[in-house]
Amino acid sequence: MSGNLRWHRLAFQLLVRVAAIFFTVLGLTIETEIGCAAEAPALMVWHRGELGDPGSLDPHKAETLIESNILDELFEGLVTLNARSEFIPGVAASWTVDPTGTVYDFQLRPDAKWSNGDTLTPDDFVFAFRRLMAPATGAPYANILYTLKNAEKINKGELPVEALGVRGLDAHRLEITLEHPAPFFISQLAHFTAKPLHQKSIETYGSDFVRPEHMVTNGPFMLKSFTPNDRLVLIKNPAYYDAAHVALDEEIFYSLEDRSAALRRFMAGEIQSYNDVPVEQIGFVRSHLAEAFKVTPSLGGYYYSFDTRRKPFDDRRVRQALSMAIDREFLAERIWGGTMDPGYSFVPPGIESYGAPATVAWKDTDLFEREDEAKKLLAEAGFGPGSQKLEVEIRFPNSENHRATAVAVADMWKALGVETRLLATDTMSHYAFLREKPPFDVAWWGWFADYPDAQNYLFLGQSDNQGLNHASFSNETFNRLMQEAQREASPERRRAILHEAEALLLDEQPDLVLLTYSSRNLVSPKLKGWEANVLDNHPGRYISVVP
Amino acid sequence: MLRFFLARVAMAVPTLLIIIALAFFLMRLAPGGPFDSARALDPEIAKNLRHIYKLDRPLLEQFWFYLQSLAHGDFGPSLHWRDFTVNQLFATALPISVALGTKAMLLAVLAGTALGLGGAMSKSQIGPRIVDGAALFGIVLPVFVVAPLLQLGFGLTLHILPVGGWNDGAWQNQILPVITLALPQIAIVARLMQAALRDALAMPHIRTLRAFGMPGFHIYGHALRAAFPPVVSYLGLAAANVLTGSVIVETIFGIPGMGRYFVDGALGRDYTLVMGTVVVVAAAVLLFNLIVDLVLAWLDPRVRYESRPG
Repeated sequence: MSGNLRWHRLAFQLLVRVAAIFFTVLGLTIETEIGCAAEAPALMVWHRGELGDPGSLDPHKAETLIESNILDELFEGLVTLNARSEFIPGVAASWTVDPTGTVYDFQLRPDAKWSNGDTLTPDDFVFAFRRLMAPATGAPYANILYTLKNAEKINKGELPVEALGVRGLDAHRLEITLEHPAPFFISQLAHFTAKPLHQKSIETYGSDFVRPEHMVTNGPFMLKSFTPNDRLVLIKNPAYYDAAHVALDEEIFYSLEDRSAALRRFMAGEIQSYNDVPVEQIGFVRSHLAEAFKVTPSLGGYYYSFDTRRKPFDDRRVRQALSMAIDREFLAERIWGGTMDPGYSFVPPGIESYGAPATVAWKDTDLFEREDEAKKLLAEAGFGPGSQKLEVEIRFPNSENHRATAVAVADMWKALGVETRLLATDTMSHYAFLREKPPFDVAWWGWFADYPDAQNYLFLGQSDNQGLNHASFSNETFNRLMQEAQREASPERRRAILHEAEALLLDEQPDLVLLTYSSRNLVSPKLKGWEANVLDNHPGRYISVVP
Repeated sequence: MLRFFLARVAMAVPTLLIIIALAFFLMRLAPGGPFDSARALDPEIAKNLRHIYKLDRPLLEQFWFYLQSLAHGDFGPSLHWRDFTVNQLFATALPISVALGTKAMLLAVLAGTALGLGGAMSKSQIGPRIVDGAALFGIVLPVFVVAPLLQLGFGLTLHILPVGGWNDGAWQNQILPVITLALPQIAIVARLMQAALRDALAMPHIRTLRAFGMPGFHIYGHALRAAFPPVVSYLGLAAANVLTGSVIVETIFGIPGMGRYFVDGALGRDYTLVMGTVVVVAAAVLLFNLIVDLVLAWLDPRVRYESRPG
């Protein structure tokens, strides 16, 4: 009937109207897109994708790589890193060391300033180090600088902060006294725990000194705004002593956890770099974004720790056997798509001061021969056909790659007659488990260097390292070697001692090294000054963007 | 009406308190705490941190502290975004989620009603079949498939919309998230509306109106009013969910909304943030249920009269 037909049409029109509104908006969008596509031509901006947000912009509350990247742009310590991750003088123009190797005298640059125009003085470092060690601050990374005299006692509340071995000698000289000689001390000074802080801001605003309207910085950039889960905007600091050579006007950090979405934004040109790649799309990335995809070895190890407190993992033969039977090349190439390297040493290769690390004795032996040797070792330890069956449980955080790796390893151990169970928990639970350390068989963990020195890996085997010695490894000789290395002033002798310690660690295998990490970056060809390096450090100071 | 309204509000407060208590204690059951990370803390430092954040006090004492600050409208400091209080985080995120959610619900109601109306008015079988089919599609397609497809289509292939980001609320950046949020809702509203309309059109009072020779416009107006209650009931619940943010949409499009705080907070054991989100979402659900009941009572006089004494 005509009535119905009319209303039928009306309903249809309603739908059409909704669609029309949508397309009108789209049309307006096209116009405004074209208008906005070209940014104000004078501004050079680096749109930098990161895996998340900083938990805090207070260097004494920071912990993660993301925070480190941002803090390196805002603050500059006595020493800093260049585009190739080499240590260069920062606020300290030069320094001398006394013959005992424990007293450093730093001469600060006379033109070092804060972003509000104040001159940077040695007192800014004294204030910062004292605040770092004060128990009330609760700095998670304070123990990195226990190299400073009395630092550990102060941090544990046994001494007042004034006892710290840091003092200003005059308007431009800073003296730092150490507990014992530490050749890696200079590299530690580039870490975010060693940045100076603007005393007056902190005394006036307390913990609010990190807000954009209050923050005073001494690095190449200043903080303009920070919206959690969105972006963090930095602008060039005109008071920085090298501001003349800083090309960027702005650096914007985007918090992008979803790697696939980040890849799409990179392809659309909305971000110019991103520091990860969705592993399941590596094939696509390698074929379509070959120029932008950079894989570089980095200083990170992928380990399975044995609980050496319990049988049978207190038996070196069992640990060696399980380690030998693993085909690391298969894991690196097939499971991780070539974004990891097989790991045969405890210290990842790439630390210049250490040279080539020690490796396991059977590194170049054929895999089948290794399997046979492994079966022999297990038989000696009482496992195999005819005797007990070895059962192992692998614990790991719940992610696809960890699971795929564990499944592959379980399969490799099956060839030895070992029965493996897998237990995945969420990431937080896994770390809590490692911290509380109830009995376990094998647990995954990963370790990245805080500073590029072999000691930063080998100290994980020290029996007094409560928090990080997950395998509960306790070996008198190893402890003795590490202590010797700590006291040794000559770099060559120290290197030799550390190599010996590493060889011992590899022979005992309390932690099974599977792989070493590579950094995976997507870098737009428009970004100049971005250099692949083992620390995966890319200061905005050296970056420029081609339009 | 007023008694009805007051009675509901009075019930909401103890409900909220029970939810808060449950969330507070349940969360502490999960292993791990806010300071667990890849780099295990020195045990002394860890102890110190827990002391600073009062996490070493007895649980009941912590709960009492929390209730006291809640009474002042203070959700406490975030344990993950340590430079911010939870109130500051919500001050930015809540308006964003509400803005996107409101637009999505509006789109859902308009488009869903139009589709449902079209299907119900169709004389043949094909109309409703098409609507049902399209609705099924909209319900079944997961968000994490739709969102990337939209990004690929409009962003990377046609280059007419940004792939992601909030960009301070620029409307270009809102289009795709709103559509993604709205699609499943459009589908559900369309199905509900269509079914309800068909039932309504068969009701006695509609037939009477037709017999009187009323114009079609008038008839459909009455039918819609009779058909709305099931849709309104659904919308109330859906609104609370959509308005407090969808974590998947927000993560994929990079929107700083409330949904992500829920998940990020839980995974990171940020106790205060999760509690704050629970309170906000619970309050929203209670509020929307109340609104729905009021709207239903207004739409359908039988509800009002039935609850009157005598």
